[in-house]
Amino acid sequence: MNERDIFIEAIRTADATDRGIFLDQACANDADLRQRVETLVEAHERAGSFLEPAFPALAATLDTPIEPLIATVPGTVIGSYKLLEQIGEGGMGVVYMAEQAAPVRRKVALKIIKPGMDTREVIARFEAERQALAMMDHQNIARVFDAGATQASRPYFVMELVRGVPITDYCDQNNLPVHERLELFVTVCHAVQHAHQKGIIHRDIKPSNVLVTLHDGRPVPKVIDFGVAKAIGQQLTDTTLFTQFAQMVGTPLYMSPEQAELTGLDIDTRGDIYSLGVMLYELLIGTTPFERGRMKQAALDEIRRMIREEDPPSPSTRLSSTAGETQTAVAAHRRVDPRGLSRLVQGDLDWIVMKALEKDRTRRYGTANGFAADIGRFLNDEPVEARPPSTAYRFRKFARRNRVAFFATSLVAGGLVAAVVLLAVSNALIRDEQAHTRHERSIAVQLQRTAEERAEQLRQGVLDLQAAHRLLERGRILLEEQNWDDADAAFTRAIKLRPEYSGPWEARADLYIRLGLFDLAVHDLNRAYELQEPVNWRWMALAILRLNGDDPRGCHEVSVRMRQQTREAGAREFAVDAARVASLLPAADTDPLEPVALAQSLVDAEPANAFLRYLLGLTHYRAGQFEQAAAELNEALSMSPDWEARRLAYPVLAMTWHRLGRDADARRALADAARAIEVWTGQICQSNNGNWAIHQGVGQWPVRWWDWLECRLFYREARLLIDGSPPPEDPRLHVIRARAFAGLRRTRMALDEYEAAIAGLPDDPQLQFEQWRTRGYFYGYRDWPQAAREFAKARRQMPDQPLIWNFEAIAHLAAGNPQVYRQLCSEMLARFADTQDPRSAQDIVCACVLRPQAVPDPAQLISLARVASGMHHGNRSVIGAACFRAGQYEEAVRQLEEAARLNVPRGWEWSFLAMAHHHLGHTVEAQRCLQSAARWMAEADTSSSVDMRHRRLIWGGFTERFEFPLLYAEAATLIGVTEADAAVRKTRNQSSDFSMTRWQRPAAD
Amino acid sequence: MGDVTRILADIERGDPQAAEQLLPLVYEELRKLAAQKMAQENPGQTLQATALVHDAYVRLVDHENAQAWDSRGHFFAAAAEAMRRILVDNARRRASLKNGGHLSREPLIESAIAATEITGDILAVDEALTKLARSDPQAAELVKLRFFTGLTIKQAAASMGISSRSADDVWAYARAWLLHEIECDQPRPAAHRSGQ
Repeated sequence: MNERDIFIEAIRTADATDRGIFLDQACANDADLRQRVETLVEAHERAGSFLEPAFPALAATLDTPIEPLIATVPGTVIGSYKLLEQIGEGGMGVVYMAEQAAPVRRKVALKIIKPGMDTREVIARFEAERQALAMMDHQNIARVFDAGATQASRPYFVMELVRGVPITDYCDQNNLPVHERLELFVTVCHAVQHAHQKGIIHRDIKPSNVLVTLHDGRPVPKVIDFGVAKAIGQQLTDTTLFTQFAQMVGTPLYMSPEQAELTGLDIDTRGDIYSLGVMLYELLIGTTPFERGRMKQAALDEIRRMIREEDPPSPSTRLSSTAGETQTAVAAHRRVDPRGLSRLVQGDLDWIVMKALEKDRTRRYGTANGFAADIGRFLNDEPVEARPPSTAYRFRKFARRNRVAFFATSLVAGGLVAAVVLLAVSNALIRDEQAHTRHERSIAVQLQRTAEERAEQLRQGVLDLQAAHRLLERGRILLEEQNWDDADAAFTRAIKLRPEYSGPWEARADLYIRLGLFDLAVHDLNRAYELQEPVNWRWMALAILRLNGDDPRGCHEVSVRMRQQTREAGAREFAVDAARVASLLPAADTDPLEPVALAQSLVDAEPANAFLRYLLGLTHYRAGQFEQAAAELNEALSMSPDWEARRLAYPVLAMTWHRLGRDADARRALADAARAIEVWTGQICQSNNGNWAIHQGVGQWPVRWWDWLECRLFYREARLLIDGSPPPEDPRLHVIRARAFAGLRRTRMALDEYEAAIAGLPDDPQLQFEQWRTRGYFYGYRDWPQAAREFAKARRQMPDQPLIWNFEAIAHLAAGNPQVYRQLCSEMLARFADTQDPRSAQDIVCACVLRPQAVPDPAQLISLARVASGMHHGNRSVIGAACFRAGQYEEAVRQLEEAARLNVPRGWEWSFLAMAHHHLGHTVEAQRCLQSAARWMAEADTSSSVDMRHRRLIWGGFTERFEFPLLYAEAATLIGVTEADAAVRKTRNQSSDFSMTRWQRPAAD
Repeated sequence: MGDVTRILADIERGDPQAAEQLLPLVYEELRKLAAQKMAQENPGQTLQATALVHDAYVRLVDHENAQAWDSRGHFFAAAAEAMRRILVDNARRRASLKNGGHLSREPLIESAIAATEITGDILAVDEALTKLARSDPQAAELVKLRFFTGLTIKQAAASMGISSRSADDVWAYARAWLLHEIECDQPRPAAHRSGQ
């Protein structure tokens, strides 16, 4: 017997005496062996759960037995829930109303999932998302409280009880007209956006998951089942599972193409946008894009193909092809006649819906809020963002699809071949008996090493590419949220990781374009173009930006390539761009009549389009056909008096008149052009004169940026032609750039631009205010006394903005002038005591709660904090802090605990809680909260999660790095950490490191 | 995809080189899967080692032609070894980070693979396991299957071609052996840490 056998026998022998006898026998003369076995037996006895898999997930997936169906009847108790009655049954399972006894007595909805799932995995996945789900706090989202397994080990979910009807049913039952349907739908979009911001994707949005309840007679939609589809359906990776999924979810009608693709892995927020689009389609015209009947009959693969490849008809087209009776019924439910409905849906609404239903998700709305905003524009009769899909796009769609995947695959394939070849060669050399000499052998070894290194590089490269792609996606969302600096950072990191991947260059160029930083944009677009030809509008962007950047040769190059593509593809939409770009420059070496012919064909197809007329006129001008040019341009101007871009025509017209020798007309047109640009630039500056925060308003273009650029370029050309000198530089261009750099938090660059702007516009109080504020930002964390001085100048300039008071007060505090801080707090409070503006109230309270007795009567802060709570739920943090300073410790604990639990925390909750608990005599709680505060600070500094981002958007984030350590230090001093409590001391040391090194570094520049 | 199934068939036919070919394929697939999932999941989310192995199995092995537990066994043996390498490398790198190694803002892909189902210190276990493999390769193999891919005793036994009962015995022996080894190595009783 060897050691193992003796050990096994020994542990089978339970009785100690018997075991001793056995060991005596088995180990006979070997004292060492006996000693060793005894040690092992001892180890065995205290091994506990050592090495035991705590979560045998694989076991369950590989041999899940078919579970017996146990009828679940009312009265049954599941976990801490008692089933009351069945309230629904769907594809996924059965829903019961249930009663929860503890910790709170309430009625909940309990959804028991049909058999066939791996319960433990479902629950594990739910657990993984539980924290994120708990962060969701939105009146239009039903909360998911819990998940568990029934005795028959079927997973169940516990949710807020919503007694409502599916949104489509509600709308039809109440014959809601289209605009009311749209308003309801917009609410749903906002709810979905809220979840997306918390990083939660629904994955199964459909009418039966959007229930409408009545609240005071008002319909309130609630999105249910957040987190459920993910928990259930994450690992659907092959066809058999798809079958299950389709059965489970009931219908693939609302499923996005990428979900139907069944890579199963690659679902993001835009999948939900697609599903929302399907739902809107149905709300508008009563059917889904793919007909229910057809879907039911089709085989699974056919369904997948349809979703992935078939372009559904637009709502109005679908409506017109519906049978007359059905049409009448559908229209009646919307209180219109069929014609009226068709007219209503045709155009903008068609485009909005179809944009959400794009197969290529990069062409859908980027966010649910963006979707909602476009509907809002429709409701307000403003021009919508969605446009009919262009032929050029359809033509290019194929190449565009899965660019990253294609790129990654080719990279791997190419690299692998190289590595494999090298390996083979080196192996052959090594084996080769001829390779006697040391030299040859060393070459072989070297080759092999190279191959291995290459393989390693390759693997690293793929990982980097994926990381870059992830950053790109993240940046894209940040961009949608107008979080410019974080988006910039994300794109820049992606570029650093994989500079030969064109995506991040393009994305960063988009960002700079939106901010009006055209010089930065053209640099990035040029780099992207070196790697990969642009798609769609980026061609035109590249051409205009190159010309704007004084690179006419580059512009011309793009123009030639675009026309070549137009000839090959013959796509109309692209032809417009090609003709337009061709006319940016006086024709050099190309056939000047080619663009004319192109534009003429476009006008022939659409004679009533004023823009195309303008384009035709422009091409005539470039071809030297001035008479025709004048005719077309005048026609364009007369056709459409309210065409916003008609200003485009003025500079071209001026040049045309000049060529025709009609000098007076030329000067008049030139003056019109000057006025037009004046108004445009004014609008642009007006629209981004943000006050409260540095981001606000930047990146909003009241006109198409390229129209504006083109008009300026032509105006300059016209001035040079007619006057012989270029127009003077407009200082407002510096204003635009200054605000853009401030939005990117590149304060130094912003200050340079402000300086240039103010040199041209010396008496603009708003500009001076912004300059001082930006200087304050710049000096913050570097030189607080200087920051305080700058903020003070800004505050004197515009004393009615509480935020600047807030900054100044905090800067003084940081600079070590607590008296000035207190004085400013008191003044600010007196000045704004009656404000009803939540934002202002928040700014005031947030400054005044940082130190004890900042204001004579802290109770005043509570009422202001309640005004602030109108802004968002997170302001419980502010109320709690105010209560604490006013000595209402119990209320403070209540508010702060709620804030820390539910909402987007500001970050100071734990420090205030620690102090409040201390005052209430809760020693243990106080210690615990103090530790949490330290932990939170450490995490907040390193985390770049969705929540942190969201928090920063809400809270601004400029002063937080000063606040956290300040409040923490106050709490730690108050509580007086005892020497004995090593754990606490340890966290504290760590946190003091943070406060010294990381939390107080200057803002990124 | 078909490669793995073919290799499994080769192994069963007794081709001694086939087993060697399997490991790199499985290793690569696991890392790729991990990276892919990381790219899609929220930052901060962790991946279950066993779930990864399962996914790799679903993706690499053609189920129609590889139903027998025998071939699964070979697969899991390779997966266990691959996952061991990934997790151990990862633990080493993390340890070196803690000791002031190069700090990168971008997380290691593998650091997100949480062996949530594992209780114990990976590096210590791995070191002890290497020693066990020298004195009792079968016991070490069983531990690898259990510890790094989360197979149940029954599955591991089937995969190794032994009875469940003897697998139970071997498992008890291996656990005691490893626990003892780890404790001897580190005089403080710190090795046996609860995983959660």
